[in-house]
Amino acid sequence: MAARRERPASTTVSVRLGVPGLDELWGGGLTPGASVALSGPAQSGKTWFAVQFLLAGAERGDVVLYAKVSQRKEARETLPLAGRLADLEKSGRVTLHNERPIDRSRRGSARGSSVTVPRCGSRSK
Amino acid sequence: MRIAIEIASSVDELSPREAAWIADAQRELSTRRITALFTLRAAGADPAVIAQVSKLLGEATAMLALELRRSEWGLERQLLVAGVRGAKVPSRFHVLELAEDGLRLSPDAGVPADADADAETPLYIGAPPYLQGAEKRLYVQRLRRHLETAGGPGVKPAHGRPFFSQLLGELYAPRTDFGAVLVSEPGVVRHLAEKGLLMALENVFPEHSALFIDKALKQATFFGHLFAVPQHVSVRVLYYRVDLLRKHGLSPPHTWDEVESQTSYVLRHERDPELSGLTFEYRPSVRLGLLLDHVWASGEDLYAGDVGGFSFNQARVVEALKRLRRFVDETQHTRLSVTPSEHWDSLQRFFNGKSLFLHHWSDGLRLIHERGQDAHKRFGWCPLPTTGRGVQGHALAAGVSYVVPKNTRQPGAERLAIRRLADPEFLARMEPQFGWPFPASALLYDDARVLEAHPFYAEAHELLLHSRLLEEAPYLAGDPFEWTRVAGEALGRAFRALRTDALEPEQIAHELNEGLTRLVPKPAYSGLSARAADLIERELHQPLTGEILAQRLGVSRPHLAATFRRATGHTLHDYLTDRRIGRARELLHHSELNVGEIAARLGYKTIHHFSRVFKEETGQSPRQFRNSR
Repeated sequence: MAARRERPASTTVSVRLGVPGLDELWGGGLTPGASVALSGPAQSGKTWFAVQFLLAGAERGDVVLYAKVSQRKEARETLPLAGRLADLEKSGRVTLHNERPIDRSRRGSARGSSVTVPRCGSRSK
Repeated sequence: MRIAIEIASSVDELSPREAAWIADAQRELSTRRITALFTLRAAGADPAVIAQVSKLLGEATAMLALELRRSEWGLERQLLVAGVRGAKVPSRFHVLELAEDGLRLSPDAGVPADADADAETPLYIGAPPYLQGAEKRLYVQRLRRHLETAGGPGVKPAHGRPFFSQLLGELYAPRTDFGAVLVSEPGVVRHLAEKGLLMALENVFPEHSALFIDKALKQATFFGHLFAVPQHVSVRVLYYRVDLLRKHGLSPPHTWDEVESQTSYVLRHERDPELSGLTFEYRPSVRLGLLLDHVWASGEDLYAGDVGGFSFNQARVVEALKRLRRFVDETQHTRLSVTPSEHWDSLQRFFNGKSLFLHHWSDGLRLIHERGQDAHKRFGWCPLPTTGRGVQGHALAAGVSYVVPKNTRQPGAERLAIRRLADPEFLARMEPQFGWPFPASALLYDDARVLEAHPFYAEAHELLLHSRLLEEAPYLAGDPFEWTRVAGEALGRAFRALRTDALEPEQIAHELNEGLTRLVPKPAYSGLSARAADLIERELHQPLTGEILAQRLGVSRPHLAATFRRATGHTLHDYLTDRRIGRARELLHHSELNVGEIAARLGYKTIHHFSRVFKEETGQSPRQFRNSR
């Protein structure tokens, strides 16, 4: 995990992950723009983690977006804490997004292809 | 703003194109200063996987990996914090707990390190599978203290061990250190008892065995023996909003029709658009139970039993499916819960005031009582509705039980331990947090201390009168996991069909019948011969003769004898002897009854007669047979 880009030196606590006890491990949270990689086998809690991550943002007023890149479309009711997510989605603070699978048959860079990062700035607070 | 992107593909299977897409996404989000979480599927948290993920998401601020690990507390979710850029964080695993409101890092309560120091021969005691993390630790700590206080020769309790299903291999080992182990359902107890893996326990509770066997705990007795000490039970109930029903002048419903009409009425008159009518869950493990709740509401069964076999009750199943469809499709008033986490989600939804009714396990009762008087004004519960007034329906009951492996190293110590588990003083201290006593506990544990500690047990027992264990159903034979699987799959298709209107209830019932009928035990013979075989099987403990059988079946002895021989190839006498000796082998092998008791249980008037017949059939005396096992 080599550093390839300068990060803000600030250690300001501003982005909590939403898993009680975890942020405190490294002093309280992440800086905006940080990215977290989480791997794990099926049923290990990745989706729980993701939903809590989003709810923590939504509860502090952030607009949040959930995107699943999957070969099959999955019902949003299957998400953990679906009730709370649905409530927040109605209020416009959460967007649930079904991303198309990445085309595995084409060669070359994905840059400029039809599959792009889900639109993030389309909703305002 | 923040975004969570879940990549369903495994890290191993990502194509170069997919990998490039993920790297691009990370860069773009970072440029826009959007905090992002990427989740990826990977086999575990070993260094190779971390390196793969690190290569993929090289600019990640934090690198985390989840893993499911077996520990002394069972299968645990553990989180490896592999690295955090700009922070000194040791790379180590942390235990994650999944509570009703999500994941959290375990407070790491732990058990005192010296707890097992003196244990020369550990006695492992199972902790209930429905307890997780800190609750499980607390349970085990209390249990250990209780057993240590109890003392007794050979009792060296170690720590709690995981849920039984992970330890099935222990039962097949030549010897095991396991003592009292919890199993999830009575059906599993029966399945294991059939395989001869469990110790008979009636001698552990001599003063209570009559209560256990003859009255309340039929569910825990198989082949005339007690194989399990029930520990916890939950019954399906209907929860309702007291305030809303009262506001509209309605009483708690007695029938499902009333549930439907009250739902329509209240939702028409309430302005809250988020209020739904009936919430219920249909995870695979509860699907069959959900259907049975509706079939049993009519006072009938899934299968109509007769001596010659079982016939699927298509009409009742169709009726039940139609009712479920009305809830799902027509009223649009139902919320179906669909994921494993929904056990808590649906409870939360109801207790947050989002649903008028909740069809759920009685575990939720505890929440009402814990929330105090105000909760009683808002939330009520009643036995499951029936299909009509005057009809006696049943709700599904389930529960965990303690069993003792037959291959245990310390039978004496484990008997003492399991006896202590039924101690009223222990129950009074344990059960506020850890569940209800079993139906029979009103009789067995009828102790002022228990009732004083848990006054709502009196109400709870009212529900138990309306309950039925799935395993009581005579058609549920063989491997209980197979039943759950087949029913879960068939009803999964059924419920999806209910929602999409793709299949008619009649088609669904037909499909379910196809799936389940394969598991129903097939009668060996038909007609009169089957009735005779069934009678022999059920009343092997009686001194049956050809004359008595013919009399009971309402035919002449010669007619019965001729018919039976023609159908089976055996004479009645030979068949009867064969079945008696077969049962005797089971009892000699699996139980600790003495030979005289076994002879009496098989309808032999004297031990000498039994021993002589046994030796003629097997070439060994009963005692030799037992010693050679």
